[in-house]
Amino acid sequence: MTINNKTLSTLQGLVTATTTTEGNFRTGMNDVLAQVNANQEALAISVDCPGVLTTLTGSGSYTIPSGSQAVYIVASGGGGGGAYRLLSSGDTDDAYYNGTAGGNTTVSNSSLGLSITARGGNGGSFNYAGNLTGSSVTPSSNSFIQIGRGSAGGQGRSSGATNQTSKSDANGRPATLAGVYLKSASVSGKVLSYSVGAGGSGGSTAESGQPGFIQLWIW
Amino acid sequence: MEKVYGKIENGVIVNIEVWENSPSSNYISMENYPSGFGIGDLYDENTDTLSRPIYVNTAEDNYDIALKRLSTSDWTQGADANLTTSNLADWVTYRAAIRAIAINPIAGNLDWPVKPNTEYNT
Repeated sequence: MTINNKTLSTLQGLVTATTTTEGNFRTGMNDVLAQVNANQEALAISVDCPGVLTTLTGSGSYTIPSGSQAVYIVASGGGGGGAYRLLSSGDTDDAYYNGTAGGNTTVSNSSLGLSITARGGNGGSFNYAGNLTGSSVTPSSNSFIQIGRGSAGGQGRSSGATNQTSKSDANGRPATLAGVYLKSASVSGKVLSYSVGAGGSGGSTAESGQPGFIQLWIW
Repeated sequence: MEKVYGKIENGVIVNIEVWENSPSSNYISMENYPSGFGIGDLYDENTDTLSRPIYVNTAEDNYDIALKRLSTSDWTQGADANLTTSNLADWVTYRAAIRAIAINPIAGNLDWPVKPNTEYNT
């Protein structure tokens, strides 16, 4: 533990020693004041609750309030649309209507070096749908990408002949969640450009995916 | 009110997004296309129409199709099927071709063997 990068005993020698000079006393007091000021600034960030908590559900731009010192951004793509399978009772082939993929959600600000892309979920398929890859976050420090943890995919369905068992994986895939924490006074007043991915369309009468979103925590 | 728009780049829908206010001109609104659209769909701005690239069956799709065609023609190989000799031979040929696909399924929209008609002994 130091005080303005000096040890306690060094500061005591500068300030409280009976033999100290006026110059050393002033130097020591300056160290103490600088440390007190730094402590107060750190407390202002670490102890205060977020000043703004908001969720963005439509695309556009958002201005981080002036005076902000940190922002935590979480973005989710849109969920994939569910698939629909019409089961045939005769010897004709089943009809497949796959869901479409959910849209990507993006957030960016060039001066902050910020760029987030959270991929939407794949559309439902009666074969393995897989997850969409390619989500990214810049800067990478204090960031995360969680594939398949975002907005829900739509429910798939099947109908027609009753003597067949529907295969799995008919649901739309959940989207990817991605985020980053930026702690810097430079976030103040910056304008975030963003687009929110829509949920994918369900095949035929299957359910559509849920739309994406962006959460902002601002200190 | 938030609406869904498709973002167009070079005649292809590259993303679907939610907007409260109408975005720039390289977007189309979902409400104008009741059949819906998805990423990868093709957009012709001259005719204002959408089309979806033809879905290409995966190998697993073709395996499923082959399996179903085999199972629904199993009855033709029963001793009591009462098919004519030549018709039975047609079914055997047909099923052999289908079975070959099931054993080594490949991706693609295949030119499937034509199912024989059914001819019974009188």
